[in-house]
Amino acid sequence: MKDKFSTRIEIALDDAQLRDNFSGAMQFLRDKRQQALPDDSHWRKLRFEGERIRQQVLARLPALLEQLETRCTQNGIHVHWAEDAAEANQCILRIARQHDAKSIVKGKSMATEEIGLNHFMAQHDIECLETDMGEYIVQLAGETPSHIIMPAIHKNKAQISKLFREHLGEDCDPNDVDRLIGVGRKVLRNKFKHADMGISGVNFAAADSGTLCLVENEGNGRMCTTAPPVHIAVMGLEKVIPSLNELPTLQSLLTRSATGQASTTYLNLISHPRQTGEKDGPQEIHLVLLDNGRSRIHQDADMQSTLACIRCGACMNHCPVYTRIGGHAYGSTYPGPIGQVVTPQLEGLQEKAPLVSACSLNGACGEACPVNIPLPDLIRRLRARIRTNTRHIRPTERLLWQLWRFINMRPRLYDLTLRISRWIPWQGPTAWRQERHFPKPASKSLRRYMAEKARTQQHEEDA
Amino acid sequence: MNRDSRARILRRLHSAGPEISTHHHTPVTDVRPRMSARAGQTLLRETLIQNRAQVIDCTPTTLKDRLSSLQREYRWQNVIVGTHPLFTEIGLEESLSDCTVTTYQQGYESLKDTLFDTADAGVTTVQAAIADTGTLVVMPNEQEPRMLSLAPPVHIAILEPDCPIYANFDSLVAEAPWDTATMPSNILLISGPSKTADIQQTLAYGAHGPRELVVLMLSDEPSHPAKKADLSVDFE
Repeated sequence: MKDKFSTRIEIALDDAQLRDNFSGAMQFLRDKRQQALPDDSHWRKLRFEGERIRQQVLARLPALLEQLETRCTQNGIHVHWAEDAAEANQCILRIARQHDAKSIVKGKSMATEEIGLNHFMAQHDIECLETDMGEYIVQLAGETPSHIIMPAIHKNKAQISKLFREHLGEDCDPNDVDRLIGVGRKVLRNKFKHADMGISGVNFAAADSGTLCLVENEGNGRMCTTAPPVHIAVMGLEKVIPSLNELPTLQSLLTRSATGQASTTYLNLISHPRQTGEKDGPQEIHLVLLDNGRSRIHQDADMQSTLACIRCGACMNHCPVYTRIGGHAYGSTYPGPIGQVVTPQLEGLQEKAPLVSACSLNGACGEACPVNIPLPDLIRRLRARIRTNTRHIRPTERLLWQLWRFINMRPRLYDLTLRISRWIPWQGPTAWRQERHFPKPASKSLRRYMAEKARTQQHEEDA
Repeated sequence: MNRDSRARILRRLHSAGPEISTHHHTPVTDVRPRMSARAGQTLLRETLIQNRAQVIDCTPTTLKDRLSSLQREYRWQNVIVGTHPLFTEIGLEESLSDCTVTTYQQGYESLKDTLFDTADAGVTTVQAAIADTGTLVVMPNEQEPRMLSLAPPVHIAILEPDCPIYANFDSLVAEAPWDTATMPSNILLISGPSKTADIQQTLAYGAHGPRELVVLMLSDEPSHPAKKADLSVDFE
């Protein structure tokens, strides 16, 4: 029953607690971002430059990836290419088996969510433990993230405290967040200490120096990439940047848009595994370059800018639909506007067609995007493709459009319809009506109004 | 198998069209030369405090006293340090005579228990700083391993008087105190103690890394008190 988008939307809308959690959280994130924006002209310049950098990367993508591969290899980082989720998972499993790894600690990574790594590794008796506090909570509850930056945003303190009591046997006052975090810290430190392997995502990878850049606040990313003897970084292949010179601009756009911070607590730049003489750091680093449909999007000139995304989550924070239905309703790894654009392209236009309809084309996501991705345009283009490529139009909708066309092609009939429409007692859906008035058609049509105006003007001129 | 995937992915990416390189990145923030120690430290002190770091001003001679009073105040039992020559220079071990000082000179594997369970604080030097975001640039190496600033609950960062302070991140990158051909294994930009807002947007410190960041900001001995007068000029 829960596999239909429309059903999931209804369930989400009926859940008052969920809607409360989301509207509070989204308001918080929007306010934080607003406070972190520098003055308007500087922000515009920053955003423009960010867009240019990302577009430039897409124009030079294959060359940059080859350079990244060469430089990483010189630095002692093993580079792997994976065409799809299955190949990426197999690659990671192979490395895990080589090291006889049984327990893996994971930093936050949407790419590994995308390939379903945790589930895959569990099938092969390898524990993949999420260590970002939000991700850890979500994993403990047997759920998936509902937001790409704040994964447990759909839960409140009371729900988390209950979860910790049930799964960890720890009694915590739901209002004592420090204590809740302390419990997570205690459990996970022990895991960091003993893990056989660490897996992380990558926010940016600098091609000219072979450097992996990870942005975070908690320190779990540093733990996963430092404590275990082997570190595997999984990266969507669009995340490459030419050099560290571009990093300050993109980093600033990312953290301000995501959490309203000028800079996160940690920016972790990794270029080598443990070198001779060094006392710590992983002995081995692997970088998995994940395609999984990205090169196809890259070939599609109309949709290529989808790949400019730096995964800040600002589009979902500003989306009126996401704010009301939450991340889970979308039923895809990436929710919200960027998810509506990415998912149908990765998983099929036919199957994911309903996703694209959950948009009022209000344009908020496009305005919020720090690298100026024209999200509303992309959504419109996908809608157009769905209409032309598939048979997703309902008969009633088809009939309505045919009627609209018929009337609009006949001026007299059009005029008559407008006159009649003023006498119809418009109502609108009952629930909707409780807080709104249905707009009434104007007493005059625009055409008539303009014609009258032209006439009076003519009179005035004549006089 | 992997080679085939690589070839196929690259072929698809190449087919998107010719590569055009038209744009040269120019930083949006003003790239400025390093700030003078005094101007830089004044701004850095403010931004670090905003980031919830504790900033303690001292000179090389008062550093020892500061450290031992910190140790008494926090009741540190065990402090872990690297083998940076500064530590013998300033007599760090003597100033922490009331507690155990562990020197991180063997492999991490044999020091795990100390790092994760017994160390109360880890001490490192700082290689550079960024004033506008309150950021310390720490580059772990043989003498000062990566875990020192991560595993113990308190990170004590010593900012030497000649530590280069940059106005912003763009200025640091422009001067690039590293060699792109032989990058340091790990460069860390640290802006405050570890934190999270993952539980109902409530900010909590000490998520997985240090709960506290103590910055000992060293300035040269005040041998020329007259110089203090031109502080405002310097700040500009």
